[in-house]
Amino acid sequence: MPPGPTTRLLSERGTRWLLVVVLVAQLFLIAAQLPDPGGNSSLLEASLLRAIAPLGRMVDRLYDLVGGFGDELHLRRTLLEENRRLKAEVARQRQRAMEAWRLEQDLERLSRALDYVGAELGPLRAADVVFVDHRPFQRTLVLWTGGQAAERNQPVVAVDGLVGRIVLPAGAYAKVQLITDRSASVGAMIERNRRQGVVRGVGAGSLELDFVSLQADVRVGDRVVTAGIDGIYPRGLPVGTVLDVRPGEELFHRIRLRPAVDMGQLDLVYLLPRLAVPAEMREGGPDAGS
Amino acid sequence: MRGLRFAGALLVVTVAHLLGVGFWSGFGLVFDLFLVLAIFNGLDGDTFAGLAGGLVAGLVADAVSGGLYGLHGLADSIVGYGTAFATQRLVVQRSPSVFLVFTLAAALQQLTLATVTLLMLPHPEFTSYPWVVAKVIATGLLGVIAFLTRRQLLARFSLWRRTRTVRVRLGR
Repeated sequence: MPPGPTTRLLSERGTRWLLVVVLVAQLFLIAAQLPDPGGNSSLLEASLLRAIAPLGRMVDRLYDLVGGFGDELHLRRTLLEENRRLKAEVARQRQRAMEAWRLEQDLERLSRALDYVGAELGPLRAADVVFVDHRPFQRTLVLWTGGQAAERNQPVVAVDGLVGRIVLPAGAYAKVQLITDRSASVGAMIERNRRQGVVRGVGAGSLELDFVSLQADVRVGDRVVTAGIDGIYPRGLPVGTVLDVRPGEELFHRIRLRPAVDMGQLDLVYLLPRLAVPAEMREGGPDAGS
Repeated sequence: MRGLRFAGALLVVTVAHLLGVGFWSGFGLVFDLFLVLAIFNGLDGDTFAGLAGGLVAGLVADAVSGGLYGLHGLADSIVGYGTAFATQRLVVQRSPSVFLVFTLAAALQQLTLATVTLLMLPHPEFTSYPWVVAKVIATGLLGVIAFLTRRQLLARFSLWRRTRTVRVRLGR
């Protein structure tokens, strides 16, 4: 059986009392997080995350190294074909960029004429995903944010759309609450008709759009984007696509969404600058995003 | 010395968990290496070490995952203490009994997690039944593998100690 004789630090009776103390302390620790399971975090958790996350990063790099070697062998074979395809894509994108530039000029001219100043999205910052956990009620990922620490409530996006928000910055690492988490919610709207509602995670990787009245025209396939009304996420980020619409309780639709981002395939995400709303403006405002 | 051994094992387990999660994000649904370590640590019957090991392993498990912090800490503390308490009264020497201890301990952990979740979370969400069964069986199998590996290594070490030859130098 495991080790031989050991020196006991506590008697059986003392250990029993210690067990009671440890259990009660942990119940308090859990209870303290309940009002906002994704948001509040203890100093102990942040310290442990700081200590463990470098290991995760090391493992991630190991994967990159091994995977990179295999990818390189594969890519070499298809390099010429890829190059040809990319050149054609660049030509198409240049054309689109010219059109976008023309539209931007028009928009700027019109904005100036109307004295309109919109909120700027700001620069994106790339961050590596160190590890992801998809256990039930534990849908989070941990990022390596490098020298510049992330801020709490900073929006996190991927190429395809919204991923979530930072809930625990810990030095060069940060924990992200995914929008598919049960305790997450996002102010959103249907892109086609600008009808606003609140998207919340319902577990099992899917989303629901709440508070859209039965009179609203909602169709399967409609794109849902952030509405920019919750003080956390800027407007226009893709959140998901309508999968199913049914009459719900009271006067609202029950709308199920497919997330725009496949959370299981994330390896690189982007942090958006936090659009901090002044505290005095937040009071009495919508409690979205928490 | 024992604390150092445990810390080393915890480091190995953490790296293995991160490798597993990196390979397959649902790794944590089936395998809980921190639980295996907590049970294994409690097998010598020292309740204090079992409790402390379970607590530390559980808190590290909580840190590498999301959700409520302390949930696994609490469950693994009970499991570590419970395993040590049980092995003071039972003889656990053969593979079937080791398998039984590990599976029962894993079931106890799942029961504790479910109870705490049900009592404390406003919208409790549980792991589906097949995953729970898979985790309990996987913990049992990993426990047996760890137990047999350790026994093999100890036997080899003991043989080496008994048969080693010492070169005696009598000076120049």
